[in-house]
Amino acid sequence: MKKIEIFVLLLIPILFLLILGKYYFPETLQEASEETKNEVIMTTNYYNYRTELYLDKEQYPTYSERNERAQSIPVLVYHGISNQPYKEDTTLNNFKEQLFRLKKEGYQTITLQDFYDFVEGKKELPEKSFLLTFDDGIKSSYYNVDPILKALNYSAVIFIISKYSVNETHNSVYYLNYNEIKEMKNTGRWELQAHAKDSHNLIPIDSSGNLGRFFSSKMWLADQVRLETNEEYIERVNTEFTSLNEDLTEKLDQNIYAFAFPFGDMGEASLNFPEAREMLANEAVKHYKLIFHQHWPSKGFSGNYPGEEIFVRRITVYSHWNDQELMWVLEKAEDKSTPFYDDFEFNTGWIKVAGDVIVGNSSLVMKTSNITHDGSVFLDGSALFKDYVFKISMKELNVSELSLRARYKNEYNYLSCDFNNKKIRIIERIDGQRRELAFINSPNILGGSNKIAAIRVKNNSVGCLFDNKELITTRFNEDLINGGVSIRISESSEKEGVLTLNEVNIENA
Amino acid sequence: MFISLECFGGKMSTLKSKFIVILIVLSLFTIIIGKLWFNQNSPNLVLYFYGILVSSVTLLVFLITYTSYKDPYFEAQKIPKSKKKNYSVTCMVAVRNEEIIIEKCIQSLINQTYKKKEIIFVNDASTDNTKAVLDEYANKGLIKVIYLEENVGKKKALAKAMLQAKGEIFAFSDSDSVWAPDALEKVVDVFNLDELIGAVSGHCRALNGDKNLITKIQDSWYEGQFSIRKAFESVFGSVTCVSGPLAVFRKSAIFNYIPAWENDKFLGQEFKFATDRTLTGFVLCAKSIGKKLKRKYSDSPFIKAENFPERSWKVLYCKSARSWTEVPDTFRKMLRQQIRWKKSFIRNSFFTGKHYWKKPLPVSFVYYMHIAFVLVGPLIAFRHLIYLPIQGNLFSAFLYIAGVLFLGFTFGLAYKVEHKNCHKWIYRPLMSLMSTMVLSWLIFYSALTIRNNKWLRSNYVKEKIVKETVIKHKVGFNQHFYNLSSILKFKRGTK
Repeated sequence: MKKIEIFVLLLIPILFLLILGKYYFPETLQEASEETKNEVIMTTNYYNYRTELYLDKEQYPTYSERNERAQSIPVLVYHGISNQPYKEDTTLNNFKEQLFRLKKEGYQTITLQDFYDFVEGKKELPEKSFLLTFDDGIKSSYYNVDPILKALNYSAVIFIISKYSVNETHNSVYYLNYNEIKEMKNTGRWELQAHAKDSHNLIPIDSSGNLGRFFSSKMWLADQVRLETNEEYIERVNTEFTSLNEDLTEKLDQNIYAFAFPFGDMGEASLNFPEAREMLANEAVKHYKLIFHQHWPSKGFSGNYPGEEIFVRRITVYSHWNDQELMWVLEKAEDKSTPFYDDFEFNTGWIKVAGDVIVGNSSLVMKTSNITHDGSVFLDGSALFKDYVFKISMKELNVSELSLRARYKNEYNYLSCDFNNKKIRIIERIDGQRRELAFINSPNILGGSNKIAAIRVKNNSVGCLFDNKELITTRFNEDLINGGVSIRISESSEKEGVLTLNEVNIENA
Repeated sequence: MFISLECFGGKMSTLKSKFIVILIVLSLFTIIIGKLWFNQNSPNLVLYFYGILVSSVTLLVFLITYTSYKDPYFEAQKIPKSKKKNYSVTCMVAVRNEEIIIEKCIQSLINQTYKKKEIIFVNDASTDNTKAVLDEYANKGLIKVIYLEENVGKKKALAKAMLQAKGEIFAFSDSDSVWAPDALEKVVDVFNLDELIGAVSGHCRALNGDKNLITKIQDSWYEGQFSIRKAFESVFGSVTCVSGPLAVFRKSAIFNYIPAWENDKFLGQEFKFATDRTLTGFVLCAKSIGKKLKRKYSDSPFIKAENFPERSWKVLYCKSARSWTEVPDTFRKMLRQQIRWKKSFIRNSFFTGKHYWKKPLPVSFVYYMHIAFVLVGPLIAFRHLIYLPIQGNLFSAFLYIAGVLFLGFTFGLAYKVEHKNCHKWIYRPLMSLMSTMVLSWLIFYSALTIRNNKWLRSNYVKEKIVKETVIKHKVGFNQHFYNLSSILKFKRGTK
């Protein structure tokens, strides 16, 4: 018999088994074929990406030889990566372009342990380090992402839902299953941490059956016709954390020390329980060393700095961003140093917290919001500024109050010079507690054009300047040893308050 | 003899072949059980029954062929010589523009070991050198030739020959086919078995079966079509198509129906294809339609000459009577041939199909199922190969192809059993695949264009190739027949 005949003869039983499988074990066969298909697709994609990298003649910067040390580390959060955009999923093409761009710009992922050591201040990392995270543990964030990570030599952290992903009997079409989780762990490119057990689902929050989020709401106890008490809330939350950790530790055989809040909501979006934020934070820190949530401007700077609290701000990569938009966000977040000058040719890092802000064409225009009647903006990447004079040149000032802030951490921690037509005040705000340190009367100081206002901080003295004259100075609490700059405007009447800046100058004091 | 010997005979040992056949039957049986009991969540009833029926019909055909088919020639040999009739035979071939291949055809007829025969060639107004070749043999007195001034087509040409034929048995061949020297002897002997045997089909394979992939695939397919499907029908004496390359009829079974045959009309138009299928149809259905047809053409010389009684004729297949025919060697030509066959199939379904239900249940069940599969098959293939993959279910397409290949392999293995030294059986699954993917779809095209029944061939191409081959031809006329046939690059139209 010819060799080919023997080969073909071997093929017959295989075909026969396939057909048997089709009729006798359709599910097993389906699973096996899915697995094979996925493996083939992932391998093909990996080689595609490798080829693309190889054909790209550009020299990629090497990360390890970088001398500059990172001052802060940005954390990116994605959900699913799919071909057809679904919910908050990023499209595969956008994601691929983003990661390739990051690689090209010299960015490198770090491990969760390195990140922890960095924020603890125990370890220095090269600049352009970043942490890549995925929430929810969706199938597509493994199958579509892994080949890219492998090709780029990146790694990622994925926060999984134990109810779906480490449960042997649960086989979802959307969430990763236990086998896939183990597979991911074995690649060495994925770190698995906690996201939720039951807390990704909503709970009833009132008698009419409205639903709220697990962590930020009090549960409605229908049988007792009441909301749960604080103690019951704390118990419920703790049970969730404990059983989640038990599940994961047992099934993954590893230490669980990081947690990402479902929906990135740490209690801020509470519907019936405003105290949730503080209470939740108090409970969560008992279980985890790192707690991830989503960044938004009022929470402060995009990057994460050593010595901060254990809450990690993450930049949500929105599904419509392309690689350039992600780069802009990361460039804005890059750490800056004093002296710093900005004539607003383009946005170097001004981030709007409230109101309307337009940066560009040599000006920064702020407008008050017509709901809260205020507007504020801060300079991203200025968190480590220490002693400086923050001076703004105003082309137009048409507001009832202007606040210049220094040693700014977020909307709850800063020093501020408040200028209005009656007084100039120095305000200190720490953890949201507002304290007036000093004031002088200053009738009709605002209004007109081409004015210059400034705030000066050095060690623990602070002064307010208007038109280059230091009008008031005082000493302040030592808690705020460093921090960035921010501007806030507010308007007491119904009309829209507007502030137009020509330039910003931050000089060393 | 003509083709490489390893693919000609060489049966496996009985034990081995029985083992393989049992394996085939068991595997089909297991699949049917699976389809019946484990696949009940099938999306709809049509699919469910289609799946079961396809496997069941295949299993039935295999089972009956392997348990019941006996080569009628070997049965006939058991009859003592004294009881055998010494039939006179007339061999008839219609030919048009076949100057190269015709010589081998003539020689293969002349060289038959059966002696009591006359050979009549009808030259259907050939425009090439065919006449000269025929004249050469006619002058030697080896063959008779009827010359037609006008091109009338294969059926009418053969009818002319039949009017002059003196034999009790009519043997037809195609002008691109050759017979094994003992083929006629074997087939004619079969007629001694039973007075009611009306027609016997020989076994046919591809003459150019080693040429390229296309011909190899067809060769492996021919083997199964004859030694499995025809053998199955032969068990019930109801072979539906006595194939053109070696088609032998009792004169009394067909003679009165020749006028109906040569004037065959379909949808109000002369239908030129299906020469062999329709002629077989008259034999099979003589009892049902014979009287009516005789009345219709009562003034025809075929009926005036002698009135033969309508009988329940048997049509058999004789596996050991071998013949070879040229098969298309390019995909394009193959498509054309398939379209012609599909048209013949459609036409004949309306003719034989009307009466075939009177035959024994297994064979008529398989016959009508086969018609159903031909119509439904492409739709099922469409569902699995196009519709489901678009819906994202690629796996289903994969399994469907696996099923098609497996069915192909069962026929492939049956080939291997018959030819243990031959490796061509591995091409058989490709025919199944090709049939599912391409050929089965032609049924719709054929149905739509059925009124257009001209033999499709390009004279320009043909003439050009003839010129080329004549040169090669002169180099060595006596070389291996296979070599000769393989340099013929054009399709001969008479099938």
